[in-house]
Amino acid sequence: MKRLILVLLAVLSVAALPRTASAQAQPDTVVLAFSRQPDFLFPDYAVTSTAGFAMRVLYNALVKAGPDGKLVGDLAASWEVSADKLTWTFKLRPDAKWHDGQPVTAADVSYSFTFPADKDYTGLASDVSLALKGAQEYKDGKAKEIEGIKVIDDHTVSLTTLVPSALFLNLQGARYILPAHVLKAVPVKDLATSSQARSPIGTGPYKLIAWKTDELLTYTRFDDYYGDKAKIKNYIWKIIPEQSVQITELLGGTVDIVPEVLPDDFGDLKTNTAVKTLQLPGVNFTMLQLNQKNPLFADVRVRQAISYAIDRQSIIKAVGGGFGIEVTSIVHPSLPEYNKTLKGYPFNLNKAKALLAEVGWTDANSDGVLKAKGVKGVADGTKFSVEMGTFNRPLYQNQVQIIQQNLKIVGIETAIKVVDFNTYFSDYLTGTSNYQIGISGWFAFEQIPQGELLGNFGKDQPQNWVHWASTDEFEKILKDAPTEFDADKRNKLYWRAEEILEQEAVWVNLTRLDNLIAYSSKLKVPEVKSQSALFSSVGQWEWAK
Amino acid sequence: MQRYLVRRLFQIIPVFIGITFISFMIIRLAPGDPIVALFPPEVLNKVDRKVLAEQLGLNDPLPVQYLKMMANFFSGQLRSFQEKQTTFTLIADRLPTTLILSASAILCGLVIGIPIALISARRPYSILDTITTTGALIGVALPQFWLALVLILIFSEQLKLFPASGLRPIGSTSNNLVEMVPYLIMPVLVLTSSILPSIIRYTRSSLLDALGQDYVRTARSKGLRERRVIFAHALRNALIPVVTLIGSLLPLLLGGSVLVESIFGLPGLGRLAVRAALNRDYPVVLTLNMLSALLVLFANLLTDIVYTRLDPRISLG
Repeated sequence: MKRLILVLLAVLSVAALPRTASAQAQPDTVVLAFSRQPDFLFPDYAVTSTAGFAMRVLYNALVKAGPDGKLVGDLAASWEVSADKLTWTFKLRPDAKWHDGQPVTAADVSYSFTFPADKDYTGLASDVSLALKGAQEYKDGKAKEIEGIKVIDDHTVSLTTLVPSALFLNLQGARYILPAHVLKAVPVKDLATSSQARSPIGTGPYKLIAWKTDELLTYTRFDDYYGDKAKIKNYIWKIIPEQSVQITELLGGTVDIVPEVLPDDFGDLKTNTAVKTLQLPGVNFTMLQLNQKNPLFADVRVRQAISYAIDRQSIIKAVGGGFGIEVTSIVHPSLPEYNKTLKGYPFNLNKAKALLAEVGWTDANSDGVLKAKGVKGVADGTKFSVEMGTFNRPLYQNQVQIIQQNLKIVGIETAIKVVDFNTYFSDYLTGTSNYQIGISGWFAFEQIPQGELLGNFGKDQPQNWVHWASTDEFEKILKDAPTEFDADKRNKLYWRAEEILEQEAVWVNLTRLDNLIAYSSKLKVPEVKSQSALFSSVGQWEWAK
Repeated sequence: MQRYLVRRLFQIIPVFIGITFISFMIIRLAPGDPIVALFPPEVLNKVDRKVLAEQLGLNDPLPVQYLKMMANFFSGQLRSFQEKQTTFTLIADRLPTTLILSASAILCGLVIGIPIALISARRPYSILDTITTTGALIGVALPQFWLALVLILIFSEQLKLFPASGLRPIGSTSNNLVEMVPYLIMPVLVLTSSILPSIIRYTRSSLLDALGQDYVRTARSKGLRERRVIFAHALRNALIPVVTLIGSLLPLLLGGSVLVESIFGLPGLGRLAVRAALNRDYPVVLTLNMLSALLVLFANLLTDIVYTRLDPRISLG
């Protein structure tokens, strides 16, 4: 018994050991809580959004988006394009340095655009390189270098494309530049396991000095950064999987900013004077994918009816705590390509029922389920009874019930099927499976939507999972936009494309829940338009005096 | 003894192969595609899936894939699909944390549990005994995640005694164990609470059993002090079922405790295992299975040997 008491005393006295000093007591440190760690910090192989956020302070590209959304030079001090619009010549900043002290040169740019065309390359940037002249020959082994990449001198490099590309600066210009002197000696097939994955050398305002797996990522200010030096010296990611613990630590002062607050917690934090909060349009949105190979969904009026039948506001309230918007366009609201004028499909049960009746769906015997009568491609008397699948992430599972109820009211019977994330995208939605309805999500990139529009909606594209037959006008827009050098005209083209997608109800877009952010009231954070912009702005964060 | 050991070690080999082959086939035959797991749907069409499948060895027939994986495992070259590092590195990074957690939990469980069981067994059915057995029942019924969150609420938020998450202070990059102690107290408490009840109940009932034996009555009638009767005579025999229990708890060492690791933000094997399974990261899952199989097989061997030390009546065949 005595021994037990002694042991207990020993344990409690250990608790008297100095705890982590609260980060607020250390004005040279800011701690960010995140629930998962990045997979890699090598941009070509890092696929998760987490990795994207983690890399924002590490790397730079030739150009970047300025405060008004227009593209300005980042590593490139200036550039010009040839008269035939094929060759882009960049003059690099002479003062840009790598985190290990080496200067950034044209060789780095050349390297960064060459290796993605290698035959052993399995990263994400191959299309950026293959658009260059001579890249395909290089990949096929017919050439030793890419003809379209010319190093003119230490700080001047030119890139030549196969066809004139109005999107060059948005696509190639956004490619992170990687250090040739570190990576050149590594065989391309081993790049993913090179030091760059875990100990990256970049050019950004912070450099990574330590990475404790699943625990902490420690960045420190890069004093030779060519731009504005970061105001806070140490930037630390603390990996805390459980979100309620993140909030506890934020309120306790051991964490300074939580970039992913759950809707349930956000309400309380909004009224708490010790923290400031931000609500930004989310990059993730959900939609219904109606398989148009199935005659049930081939008629656009059926798709429109389903869209009218969904009560998006109640989804936003139930699942997002009220923090979110109904999705009209698939493009992120902060981009100039976003069509502001789209009306979406506001909740309207009468319109839904009317459209369905128009197509030939009626409930003759009033049993609650619509039956076909004179519907093209569907035998008379067929019930409108389908399977609706989704994957087992809370956001999607929570929506399923509401959507099922909404559809039931208009007479569409759905059987819910939930599978795990991997199975959903490898089996259910894709390939030979003849799914009927899928509730999916999309992570909208904050860059020009050319790739997304083409990939998801282009005729016969492998990722056109709804099998939409596209229209001539839509296809033409996707062909013309990349060669339209006038940004305003190009934006109008994209707006029209988004309008077509809405009119055709190709995806039944649902909700875009806000990204909810909370941070210590003593921290000053610049105004940003999206969650990823927040992660780029770390260099400007500062502690209030 | 030596012959026995050698025979047992030889037996381990076919069992090991059987376990790993069956695990491999089960997870490979489950629906799901590792390449899809590697990329979110948004970027799937940017990737050259054929080249990648070739590089990952996914085009070979299944038994060939198994053999190649085993060969890579033993040469230390088995790489995770997701993180591209060798599975050994991935596990080695996390193993110390899991080991410290689980070893501390088992140690605490024994250090706290056995004395309590002793007290209970000395006075069975007394008030003290009722309290401890009821307490044990409550401990087993409390969900780990609930207990973890409650502890954080009380000790981190209200009393500000212990840190809510992490393994070491923020600026620190060293592996200083002393620094880690305040961070480990609550997780170990939660883990201990889940194994303590079993230890107490097993020890108590086996002690009660031992204390009712004839030789104990003889020892008492010889006039020995009660303490000597218990420690020198009864306890050793009462510990045999407890050794069995510990042997079955040892696989916890490798499984890690996902809940505790997730809530307290500890970089352990549990989180790795769950992530790997969900992402169809076959090399990692296989490596964890193999290590777990080896651990269980060796744990069984160890407990068998310990039996002979505890009870001279038990001899190895």
